[in-house]
Amino acid sequence: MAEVRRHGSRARSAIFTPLSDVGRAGQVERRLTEAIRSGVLVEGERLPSEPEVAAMLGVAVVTVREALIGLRSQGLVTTTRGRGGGTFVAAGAAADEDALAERLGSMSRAELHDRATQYVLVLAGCAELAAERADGADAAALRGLLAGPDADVGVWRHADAELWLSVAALTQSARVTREVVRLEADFGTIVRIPLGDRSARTAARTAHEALIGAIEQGDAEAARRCARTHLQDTLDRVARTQASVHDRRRRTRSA
Amino acid sequence: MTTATPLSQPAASGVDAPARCADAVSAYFSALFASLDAIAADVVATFAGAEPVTATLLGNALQPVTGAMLGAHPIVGGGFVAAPGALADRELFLAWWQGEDRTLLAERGVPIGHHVFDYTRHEWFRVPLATGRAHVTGPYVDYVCTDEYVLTATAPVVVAGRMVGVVGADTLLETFEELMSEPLRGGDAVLVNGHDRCVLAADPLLRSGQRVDVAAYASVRALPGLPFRVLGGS
Repeated sequence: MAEVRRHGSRARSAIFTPLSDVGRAGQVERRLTEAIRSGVLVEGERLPSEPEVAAMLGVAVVTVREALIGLRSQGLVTTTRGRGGGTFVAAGAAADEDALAERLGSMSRAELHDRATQYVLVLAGCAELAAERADGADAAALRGLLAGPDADVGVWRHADAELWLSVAALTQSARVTREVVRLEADFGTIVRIPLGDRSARTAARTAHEALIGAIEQGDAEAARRCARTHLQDTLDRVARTQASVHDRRRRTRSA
Repeated sequence: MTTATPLSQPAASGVDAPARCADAVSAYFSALFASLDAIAADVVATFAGAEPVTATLLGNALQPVTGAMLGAHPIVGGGFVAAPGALADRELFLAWWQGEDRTLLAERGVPIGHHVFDYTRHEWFRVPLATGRAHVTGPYVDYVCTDEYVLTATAPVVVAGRMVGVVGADTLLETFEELMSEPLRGGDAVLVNGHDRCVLAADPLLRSGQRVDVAAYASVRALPGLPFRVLGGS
């Protein structure tokens, strides 16, 4: 009988991989905050139980409890008791634009460009291979993920994350897909800042439709170009937002 | 789209490789579906009880029989996935255990009715409910549950004429490849799924997931009860 690999990797495993420095509630809080803000953990979703999170992250249950207190005070999660109770991602948690600006502002311009390069490279490559390897049913499934024009920002951000994860999965490579899951957990919040803008949502919708069209046609070159142009445009928007956040900070400091 | 055509030089073999391959694949899945039937029977029994069926009740009821299946087959995970509205206390629920430590997945769904991360749109859930028949999905990268390249076997569970969900099991493609390496060896067989994609092939250049031009093969053998066909070059 074949040797069977049964490792216990979970969805969005990047969020729940063990932390190197055990026992830091702040780290737990930051990682879960990232996951919620980026839309990887979605509004209304139940978090695993305190012991489960503790086991996954390799920290003590009291540490998780402390982190959850922090998340509650940020308004990111709510906890209900009793039957069917648990800790849930709060409504509107993902759409805190101030917190997003704060996170973007704390990043250097060089770091943003570095991360943007990696993100665009990987996802443009995914789009190219997805176009070669997908069929009509796959393209239809992608179309089903698109957010409607009137959907709110949280839904938009989540749908966008799901779309890119699905494109990655169409490469038929589990490793590539896991890499994209990791990128999304790490940088997804930042990439989706522009979706707070209606004009960016309209541009994204057009770009998504063009991308899915190229995938449907099996046109790998066009799919790569669509993905690359759209993601670069998105990250240009992010860079301009970052510049204005940095400016604001400088003015505040000199005032 | 790149599609594959037969090997120009089929390997010499006195044995009918496609037949051998078809038998091995059918045997693997019929054993797996027999275990899934046992889980389905426990689901039906749970729904037949007097208590409202909650996630906890169902999870407790299915853990032993699912554990038995995980012990009996080289699978990475399995269990029962509830149809929306089937349980008394959850809209969506997975009584699904996976990994070395048999972690319970519990829920991946979103209780706000939004379509994303809602497993009901996935082929492994959708097809058995639509057709009322067992199905095998894949190979595909399952980024929702295992983060692996898998084949997912699922079968519908009906209680009093109502579909309450599907029972299922994930087999890593790498495990399946290993299991089928002997039947495939020395022949020219290609196992394709219902989307004409290669599941496994004797040809080392034919990648799993690659689209295959079925019409270019001389022999096409359907596998009863499975969405698979075995192709042969000559």
